[in-house]
Amino acid sequence: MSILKGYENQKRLVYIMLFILVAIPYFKPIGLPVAINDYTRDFYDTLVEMPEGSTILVHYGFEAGAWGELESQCVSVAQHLMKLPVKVIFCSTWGMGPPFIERTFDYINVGSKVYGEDYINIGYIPGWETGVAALANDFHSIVSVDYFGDSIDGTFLDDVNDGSDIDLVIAFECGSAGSGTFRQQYQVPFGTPVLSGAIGVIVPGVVPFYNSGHISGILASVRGGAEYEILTKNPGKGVVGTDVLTFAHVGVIIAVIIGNIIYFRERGK
Amino acid sequence: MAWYKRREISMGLTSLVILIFLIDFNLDIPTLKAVTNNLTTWGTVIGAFAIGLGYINMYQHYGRKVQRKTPGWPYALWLVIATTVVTLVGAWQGRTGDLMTFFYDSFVGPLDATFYSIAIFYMASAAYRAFKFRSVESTILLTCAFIMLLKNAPIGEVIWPGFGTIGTWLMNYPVMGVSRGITLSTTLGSVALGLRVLLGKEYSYLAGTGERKE
Repeated sequence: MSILKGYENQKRLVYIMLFILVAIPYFKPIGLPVAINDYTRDFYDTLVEMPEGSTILVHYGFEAGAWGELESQCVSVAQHLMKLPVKVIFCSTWGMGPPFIERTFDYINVGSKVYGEDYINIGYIPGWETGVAALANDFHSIVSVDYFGDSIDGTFLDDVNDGSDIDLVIAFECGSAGSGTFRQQYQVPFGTPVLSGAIGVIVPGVVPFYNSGHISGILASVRGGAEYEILTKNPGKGVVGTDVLTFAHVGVIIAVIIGNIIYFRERGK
Repeated sequence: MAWYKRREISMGLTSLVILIFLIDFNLDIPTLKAVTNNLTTWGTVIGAFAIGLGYINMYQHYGRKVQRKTPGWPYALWLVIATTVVTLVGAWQGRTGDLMTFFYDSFVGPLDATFYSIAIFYMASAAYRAFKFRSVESTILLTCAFIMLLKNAPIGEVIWPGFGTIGTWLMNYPVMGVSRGITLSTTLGSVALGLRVLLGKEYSYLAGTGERKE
């Protein structure tokens, strides 16, 4: 078939097929069942087992590009945190991260939680790993105001001085600074447990640390977000996104199969 | 050359800072803790200044491109205009102002997400091109990729739960083994590099001049 002749033509066909496949679930969601894997369950268990009054540091280690993949994780975890008797500090060492903290709040219901008493957004922390190290060593040396420029004096951060005052770190990540940075600056020196919410390509790099016990739980990509939504009984974009994920994966598999058929046909000639 | 510009001064300062951090990490000395805390804060402040430096550098680089009308200069001009506008709006409204939020939500977010999303098409065409039963090695690669794709897609375990089991085994054993190997090698490399810096054998970080000629 002439339409399949040449790599450029075949590539275009792959693109068209993928575009159609990814578009299908948007018009007709299928709602495939999602099995909860151990990484997600451990993530959930770690959070629900946090003692009352614990302080949790949530880091947004990503930019707009990864929001599509991490949105369901961030929203479902933040919503869950607002229902737990814990205090939450949101921050980002990524320049474009802080607006997504605020965007997360657009999608959740904070309930009876009060800003400054139960949760706070301290915004951007410059310096990447050095910034995280400074946060861990002397919190108030680099944070004096929140994301909106208001003083943090009088908030629950008065009781946070260094890494030993943080009981758990949740690192949403699509690169560095991510869970690895917090593992080095919080988990190793202070023994603070670290959870990772990662995009798909980061997960294989995080799993070895989960297996070694350095990371207490992982949310892997859109699927991890969907699993967390199911665990917290708060279905949202993640559950819808798994259909898209399935179709995208099926598209890649079909492309590989067609590629091999064409390869063997051409080799046989 | 002025004495304070001598390379030995910079190298000595670097070694001193490394020593302070090393001693602080291994021994619990309160005075030293205060020093390392201060040094870390300095690092953060320097990091913030680096952003400013990058900003000025961007203007110089792309400004020159526009001035000389080198190929692609309209893009450089657009970058300079966009940066200037966003900077002025940011200075006027602050980082949480309406216009800043509009820029972010309407331009930065969608564009960044679009660029990232395009990767799936490249990944698909790369998989189409690379995953072939050409040899034993490529067959192993293809089989593992196939299993991992079905493990990660919810439909995989619906078709056959074994995809999840095998996929998890692949992650827990071969992937972890390789990952640990890479992590340990890079860590040992970092230790060796740190030791070279400490002993003054490595100073390319100072000016990118590479090995010192004895």
